Amino acid sequence: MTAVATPPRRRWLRSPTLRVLLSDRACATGLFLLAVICFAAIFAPWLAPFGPDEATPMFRLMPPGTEGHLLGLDHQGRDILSRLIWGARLTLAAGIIPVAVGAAISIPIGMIAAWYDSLGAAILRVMDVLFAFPMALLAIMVAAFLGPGVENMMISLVIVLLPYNVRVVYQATVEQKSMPYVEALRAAGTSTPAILFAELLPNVASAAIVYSTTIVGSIVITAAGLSFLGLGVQPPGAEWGIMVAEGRTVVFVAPHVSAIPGLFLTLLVVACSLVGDGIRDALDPRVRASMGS
Amino acid sequence: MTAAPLVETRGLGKTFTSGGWWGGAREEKVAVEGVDIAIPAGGTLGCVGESGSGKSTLGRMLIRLIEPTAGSIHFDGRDITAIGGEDLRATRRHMQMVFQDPLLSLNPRRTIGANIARPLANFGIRGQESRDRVERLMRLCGLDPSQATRYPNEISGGQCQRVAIARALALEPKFLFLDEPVSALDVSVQAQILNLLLDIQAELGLTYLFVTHDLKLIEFMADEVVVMRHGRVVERGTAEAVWNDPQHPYTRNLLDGVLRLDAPPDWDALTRRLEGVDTGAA
Repeated sequence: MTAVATPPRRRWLRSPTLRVLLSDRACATGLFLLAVICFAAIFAPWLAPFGPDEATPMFRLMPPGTEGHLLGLDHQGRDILSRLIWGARLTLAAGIIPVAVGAAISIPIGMIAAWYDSLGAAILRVMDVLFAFPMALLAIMVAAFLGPGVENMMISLVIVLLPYNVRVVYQATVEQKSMPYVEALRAAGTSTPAILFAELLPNVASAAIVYSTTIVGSIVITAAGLSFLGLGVQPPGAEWGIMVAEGRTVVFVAPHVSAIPGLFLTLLVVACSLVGDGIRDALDPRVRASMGS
Repeated sequence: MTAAPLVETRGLGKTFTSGGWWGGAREEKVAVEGVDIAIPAGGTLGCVGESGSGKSTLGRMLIRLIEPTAGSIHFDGRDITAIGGEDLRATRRHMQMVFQDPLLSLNPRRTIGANIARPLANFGIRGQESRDRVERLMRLCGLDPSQATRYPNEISGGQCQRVAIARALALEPKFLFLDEPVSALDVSVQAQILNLLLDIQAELGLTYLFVTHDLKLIEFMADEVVVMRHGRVVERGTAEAVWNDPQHPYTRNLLDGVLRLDAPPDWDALTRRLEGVDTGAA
């Protein structure tokens, strides 16, 4: 095809960020996996052959390949494929909602901490206390304190995320704060809220968003871990972490009951981190330059 | 000087303190000490000194970006040393600043138009009136108003400095603090920006404090000069007098570093100066 005859490509394909993302094979694979899982979650009622709680106890623990049940049945005789598809909803929500809420809360906290020195020192010390605990341990502590349930699980994940997010926003704001343009804003009589939330926000938010995409994966796994421990989604709810937990009792008789959701959980986390790394690279001007865009 | 001073300081000083309590040993550093200056309305005071001599700190104190620790500042006959809050914000309208690095002094995520319009918005000027004024300011500073939608990194350093000057003029100030406004620019662009500053001063009757480490520019821009060293004024006088007959050895030392057009460079003096870097001046 000659250059002249090339049809105009669709506009979104010309966005340099997206082009870098798609030209990165690992990231493109991750995007594809995520797209498939999201598609399954959204269209679960049409895609899933059975309901999430529909049981045929007769066929309980039947292995993958059983007629009509591609991935087999669990200990109550529920179709594993259907539960996976329905469970994608809660599994994704448990990863994405806390990250989004965490980013939204941490942006004002981090910016204020960076702007007011003494208040900032106090905020950062509180964050240091949260930092001192391993992520999973802190999530378990908070979730156990609040009691089991999906909402409480998400609240505990937001609290776990907060110190990381606040740090990132704080650093980005401190970096911007020393720039001459901020001094120019002050000299022009700009009020502090206007400097922070009208002028600095776009410069700082990108750092927070990029960071958030890189940690969706670890939040998904922590959420699944909470559900596995009985602190998150409660039976008979369909979620991949609790599916692994329920298969635990029959793991020697019918390992597929645990192994299949575990495998999908792994795929989801790998996909998240591939995409997160890809986004981080794509927004880094140095990497972008080396990709020739 | 016949005209009443627009900006005046008495015994102005700033001591930076760092550390203390949790941050290690408490340290004090005197940046500016006992500075008395007076800038007549419509005039330009040049302020020369090497880096670290306190000249930028002095300018920033005048427009209340840095809090002085001693002395007083008078602006337009009023003591503004200790004003705060809304009073200070209202006073900021009359005194603005042009920075050394034009690109860094503009918000990179905002268009040129939005950068110029920000001071206007701070004082309630929005919408069509704001757009009209941005257009007028851009023309005044030699910019094409159609560039208002571009971003700072898309235009040259000289144009960025024009944008910064337009922004500084947006609130119709009486006083501009020019902090090395051309030292980050190419020599050919420097002359354009300096001429723009002179034209604007003539047109709007502005008062300037022109801070630089480049003595050549002082004679071109300023009526009077103060020479600063280690936070103190070591010499003052009309630009011509300081240029032609420097009194303080430090000023002579500074002048030795300038290649003058009216006399061939004194290479021996230059060599002496380079060899004895600070010893000659101390």
